[in-house]
Amino acid sequence: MWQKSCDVWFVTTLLAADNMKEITQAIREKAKLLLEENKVKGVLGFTPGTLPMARRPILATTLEQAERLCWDEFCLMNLANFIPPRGQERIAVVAKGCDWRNLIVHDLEGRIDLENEIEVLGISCKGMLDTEKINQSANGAERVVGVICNGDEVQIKLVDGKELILEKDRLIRQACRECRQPTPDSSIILNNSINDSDKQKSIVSEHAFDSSDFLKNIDLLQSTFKECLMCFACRDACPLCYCDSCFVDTEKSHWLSHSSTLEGLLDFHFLRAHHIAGRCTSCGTCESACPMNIPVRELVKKLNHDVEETTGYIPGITKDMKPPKSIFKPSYHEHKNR
Amino acid sequence: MRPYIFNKSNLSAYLKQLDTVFEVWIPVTENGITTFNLFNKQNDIDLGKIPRTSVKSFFLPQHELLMEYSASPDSIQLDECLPSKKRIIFGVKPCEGRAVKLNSQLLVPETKYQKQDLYFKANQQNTILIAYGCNQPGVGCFCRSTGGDPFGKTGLDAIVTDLGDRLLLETTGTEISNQLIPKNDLNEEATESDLTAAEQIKKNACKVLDERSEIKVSKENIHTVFDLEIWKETAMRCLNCGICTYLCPTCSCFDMMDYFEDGKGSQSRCWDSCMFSLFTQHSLGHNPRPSKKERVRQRFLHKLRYYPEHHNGEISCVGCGRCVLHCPVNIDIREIADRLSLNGGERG
Ligand code: SF4
Ligand code: SF4
Ligand code: SF4
Ligand code: SF4
Repeated sequence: MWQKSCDVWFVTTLLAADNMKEITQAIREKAKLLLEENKVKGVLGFTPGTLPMARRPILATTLEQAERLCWDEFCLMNLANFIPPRGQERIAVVAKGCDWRNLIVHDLEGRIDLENEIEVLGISCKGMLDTEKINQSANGAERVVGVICNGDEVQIKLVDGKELILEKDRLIRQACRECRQPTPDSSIILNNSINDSDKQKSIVSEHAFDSSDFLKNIDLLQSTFKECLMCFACRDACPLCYCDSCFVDTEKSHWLSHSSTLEGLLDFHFLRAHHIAGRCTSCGTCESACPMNIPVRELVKKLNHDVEETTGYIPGITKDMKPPKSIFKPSYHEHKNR
Repeated sequence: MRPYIFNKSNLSAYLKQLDTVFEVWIPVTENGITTFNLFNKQNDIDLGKIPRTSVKSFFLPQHELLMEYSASPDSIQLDECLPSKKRIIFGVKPCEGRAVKLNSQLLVPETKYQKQDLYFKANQQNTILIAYGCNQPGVGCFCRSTGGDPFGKTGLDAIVTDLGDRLLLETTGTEISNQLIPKNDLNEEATESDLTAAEQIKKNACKVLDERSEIKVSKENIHTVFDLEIWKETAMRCLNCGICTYLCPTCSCFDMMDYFEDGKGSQSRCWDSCMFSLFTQHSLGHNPRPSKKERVRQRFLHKLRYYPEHHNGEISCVGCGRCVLHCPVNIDIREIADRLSLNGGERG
């Protein structure tokens, strides 16, 4: 009987996924073909979940699972995060622009073998929606029973039977607004490419922490991070945080207190920001995962900008040089100060 | 005792009455997230939403100072830091009252052979819960399947039913609940027709939930075989983050921290999660739950099977739906319980 109710949920969510039918169809067909021809062990993509806006990552290994793959504006997680490290059987992955950029970062850093072990099914992406914004308009996540995207509008069905119509453009995730490459450079792109020539510029003016001396901004820091629970979902959802032994998880020595005191919070966010500086693609997955709506990317934006200015390296876009963090020399500073 | 009734517009007058005796906390929405804040004139009470973090924060805070001490070669001074402030949390969800009870069974056991958690106990003695019943259960809610009720009174000192323009306040008969009775011109008893209206609202809410699922999750019905396909599948996408356990009102695991510097030290505790690899890491290097699969499995089997085995069959999930709504990869305990069920489920 639970199953019965689950089925009902799945049906509503499938309806919501319907608006990008062609892309969904293209993914399914390609996935089935790859599986049938035994070209890949599985296809990493999204499948509808039990809530209207839930799309779950899945490694589809059977034709039946491939038939359940989907695509729409709620495919929020960055699938690069779910790819096993190199040395595995070949898999295919459905990738929007930012997933692609993180795949490039992984490849440059040696974590994956993009050319030989991964088949990228690229999607040219118009931006994902901010589910937290939709929840807020609905007056609570628990009140959203259905979401249907219709052209420029998003129709939201509420638990009391009422309906809301919102302008889609205003619901686009902040990270997607700042996106610098919506279309992967992969050889396969499953939909019509959108024009992203004007997107390549850096939108650095929008970062909140303007001074590189973060501590001058202590009030801003406090108000930005005070609700952080130290749940580490931002780290866990981030494709860059793949270290086997993260500073968060080391016992000997105990790097980080897991207490949500201001020191604990800032230690965590500073350390993480420095670990991903010059590697972060600004994909926004950390912010989508955060249960407390914290603008997790803000701290790293400034660091990223500094790395780009100093070295010319843009994570996931630059392909012909080693990541600055792996070849860092103090002379970079001299170069900058000259 | 008959319930009391007052106009919704008098709610803040009522809260002010309480505020003269206790510290009063209310749900407030800031930056889109509803959490409990101190009641004052500036903040607007936001009833009806499911607060993002649960009432657990008052009983087992994310960070809790347990003791402070100063030590020299010949003396040691210790301050226990036991909480003592009396406070009212207004507008909790009825399921959260049950969650406090479930945690209390674990942390403040009454058999004489088990130690009690004095801090949780003190917090429990000092915290008064007034719930706001759920006229309209949310999409993640399934309290009826876990043995609860959208207007259940377990663990609460009083409960408010929203009749539209008026609020019906029922005290539950706990020792302190007498002090929650509205005073002066707010002290008006509900009429028979108010009670009928409230009854109808309760019935409707239960109906919504029962139509969604008739199943009551019970330990007898939960498959415990370790090596099921479902665990592999779930672990593939689980991030092993702390969202589900940190937002959960019944998850109660914590970690201890000691600080010592210049003769002064402190001990505190903070939340911990069975989803973290460090949680079961032994000091010699072995980890009995080495991968995501074992950790995911532990969370569900603990709630649905191990806890009830030790506590009269009650499962340690109250169906509040927080983990359902906020898991970034949609791992849904309702679906897991369904797939684990021995009759009807697919057995992995
Ligand atoms: S830090 Fe956030 S925005 Fe940057 S790569 Fe990781 S998940 Fe994406
Ligand atoms: S996901 Fe959000 S709440 Fe969790 S640790 Fe990161 S910033 Fe804090
Ligand atoms: S089940 Fe969801 S919320 Fe819980 S640890 Fe896994 S990803 Fe995080
Ligand atoms: S397991 Fe999930 S639904 Fe159950 S009490 Fe915890 S947060 Fe609520």
